[in-house]
Amino acid sequence: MFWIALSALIMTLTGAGDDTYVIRKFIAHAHESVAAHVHDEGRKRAATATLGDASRAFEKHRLRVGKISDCVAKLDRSYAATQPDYERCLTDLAPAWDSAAEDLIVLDARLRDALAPPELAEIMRDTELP
Amino acid sequence: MALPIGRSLGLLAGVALAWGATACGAKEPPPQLPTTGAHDRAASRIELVDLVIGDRARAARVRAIYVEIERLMLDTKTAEAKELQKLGLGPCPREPEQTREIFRRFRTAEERALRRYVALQAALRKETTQEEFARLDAIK
Repeated sequence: MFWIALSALIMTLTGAGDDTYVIRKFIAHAHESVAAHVHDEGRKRAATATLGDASRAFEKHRLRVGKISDCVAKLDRSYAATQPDYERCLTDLAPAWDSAAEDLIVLDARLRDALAPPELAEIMRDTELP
Repeated sequence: MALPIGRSLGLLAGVALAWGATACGAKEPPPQLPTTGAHDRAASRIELVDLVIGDRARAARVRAIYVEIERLMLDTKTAEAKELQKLGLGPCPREPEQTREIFRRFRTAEERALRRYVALQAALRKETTQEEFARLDAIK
């Protein structure tokens, strides 16, 4: 799922950042675009719910990975830390990313099911990231 | 309604970034990947080892550990970035198993780097006294 991938890429390469201007611009445009281009109330509700779920799933994933990072950082400060201590920090690494992949697959399919192709094309055009 | 997966993924990418706006508005920075934090901590200490460890031979070995950590993490990030790029490319729509495979390769790179990192952390403790370790840890 590209929503996790893109953010993970940002975290991976810069270690921190999100461009708040782009983000705020995107979310505002996404809401406006759904309202403007999705006229069927059922599809509009489904698309909005999927976008909300994607946002929440992303937050959950990011916090989950952050816990691993915090655990490693804490051990790095301890002279007494051992390899088994580090191993315990890493136990959730694979499950966290596997879970993110499953969320990506499910939410992407939901979004594609919720919107008609012309609607999605319009929304993509309106919210295109620079 | 079958739609090009790349388009819908791109839309969801924006949602992900939108959550980041909340994080940026908060007092704490957004969470980092474990390899990113590890890289940052090692990179800041490379040039300062000699200030903490008087023994030149040992200082050289400790510096070499930090250099290896930095290179390891940079190589890992390059590999991870290549995998992530693939999520936005390729056939549309992509089969779920293909998405899973890309994520598997990403997290394998992360895991492999962190396993090596753990070994290097053990080596670091062998080369330093507790006091030296604490002084190096104080470098931000």
